[in-house]
Amino acid sequence: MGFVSAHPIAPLATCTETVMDEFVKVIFPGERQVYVDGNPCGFTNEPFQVQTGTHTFHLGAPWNYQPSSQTVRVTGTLAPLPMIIVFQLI
Amino acid sequence: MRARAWRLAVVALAAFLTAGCASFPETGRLDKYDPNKGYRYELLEANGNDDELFVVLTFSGGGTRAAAFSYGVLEELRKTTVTINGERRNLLEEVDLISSISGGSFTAAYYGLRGDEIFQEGGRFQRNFLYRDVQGELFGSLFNPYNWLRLASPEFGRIELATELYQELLFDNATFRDLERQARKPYLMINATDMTKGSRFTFVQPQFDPPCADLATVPIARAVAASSNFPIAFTPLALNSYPGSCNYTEPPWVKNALNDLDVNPRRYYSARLLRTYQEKNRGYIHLLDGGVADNIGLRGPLTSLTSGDVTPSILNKLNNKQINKLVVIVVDAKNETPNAADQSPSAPELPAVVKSIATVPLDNYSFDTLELLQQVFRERDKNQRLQPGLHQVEIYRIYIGFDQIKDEAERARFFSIATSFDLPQEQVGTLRRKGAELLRQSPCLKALLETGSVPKQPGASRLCP
Repeated sequence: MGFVSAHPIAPLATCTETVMDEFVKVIFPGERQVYVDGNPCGFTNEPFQVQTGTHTFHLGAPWNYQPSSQTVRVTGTLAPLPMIIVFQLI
Repeated sequence: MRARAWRLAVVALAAFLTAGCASFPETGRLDKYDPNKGYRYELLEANGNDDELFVVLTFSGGGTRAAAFSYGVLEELRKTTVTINGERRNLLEEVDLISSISGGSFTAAYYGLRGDEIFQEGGRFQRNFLYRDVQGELFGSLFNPYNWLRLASPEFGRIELATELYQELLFDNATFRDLERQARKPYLMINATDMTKGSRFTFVQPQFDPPCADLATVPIARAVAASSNFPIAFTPLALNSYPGSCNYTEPPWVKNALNDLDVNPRRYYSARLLRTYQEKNRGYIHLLDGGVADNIGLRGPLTSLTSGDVTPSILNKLNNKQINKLVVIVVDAKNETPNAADQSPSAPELPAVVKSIATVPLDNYSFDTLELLQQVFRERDKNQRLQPGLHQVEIYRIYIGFDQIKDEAERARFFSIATSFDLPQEQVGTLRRKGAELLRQSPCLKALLETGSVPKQPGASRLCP
């Protein structure tokens, strides 16, 4: 006899874990390009997708914001509930 | 008379000595790492092929069967027109990226290098490859006494004879510098397998940067030979590696990914793999057939769809709102040769057992790769619906394989076509027509064409199938 899961959703949950989708929204007063690990990847004040893991975020030039960059581990987010990362204008 | 005999003896001795010292062609050293030079997607010119409609093609392995089948798909794409911002173009002109393996790499590389010349009826590609007994010529080269001497050298393997033949038949002395100068799409991702690391190895400059090797010096015929380097029939193909000699700067994601073993092991191992190409004692890279790591050529594009760490990153293009319609066409020439083992109580013969060991893991992995693609697309579509703030992109996944042939007898006929570089002319013609027909009949191609023109602005989320 094979193993029968007590929770019918469990196999599906395991399956979707292979797709490492995470969602981030970078808050900043004004529209700017967002750089993730050095690459242009989305815009401020709009959600975008990254893969699960540690990423370094900044807004590129002009460097009129703080902190100058943020390194954050992004896990456990959902598309409707993205991780919020805030940069302040200086 | 005596002087002539002496001259002949000297020439023969020189040939012997030269042949005995034969070595594989050296890969050039990258003088200085420069992300703004070399064969990279970002440096190609659009020439009307912007990213709004982003088309990815993948060509599987399978010898001439795969080459002819993917050739038929190219022919059909060329006949299919789409309207982009009011301009009618054929769909082939819209292809941004071709990722290929083994037999499929011949078609991909020839099209990438020579463009529409590939379609010339009776032209070089058809005459010198599709309809030619290339296998016989490869075999014949082993009977040349001069090659015996060359093959005696441990640095000159049978794969180099294959490279020379592919140069003579198809690619001449063209190198990746020629592709770099052409700077036109589609971007070629010719895939082999790094034998010692067991990973995919792609002939693009970002792969050659960490070992400080200059892809521009590599003949295209060598990349195709590496991609179709069937284990045991050929020897592994060697590239030179010069780690630490070009001021290579590791991309920022690597340091971050090395913290992520617990949450994203795939990313963690990608970072570790990249670092192995910078190990000082790694002077060479030995390559096997691309099919060992991924026999449908889809893993590279799949990584591009899910990761911002690679170039090009389709994920980043989605985030940057560059793509409005995304089309992935997988051309899979997988066969299923009949196996009569279960009709007998006797233990199957050793060759049948070896064949199972070699092919079953590959086929299972290919199946999982296709499933993963479907899963990635479903997740993206679902997330776009859940979060309207995400860039809304239409997604079309088109799979072209023999299992889509409805007639059982015809399907069995296609599945039984051998993996060889010598197929009967009639079979090659049938494969071309079937590749074209299956693409033409694809419901998702029809759906793409029915949506009309590709606008500058994104539409609503859509997934096919």
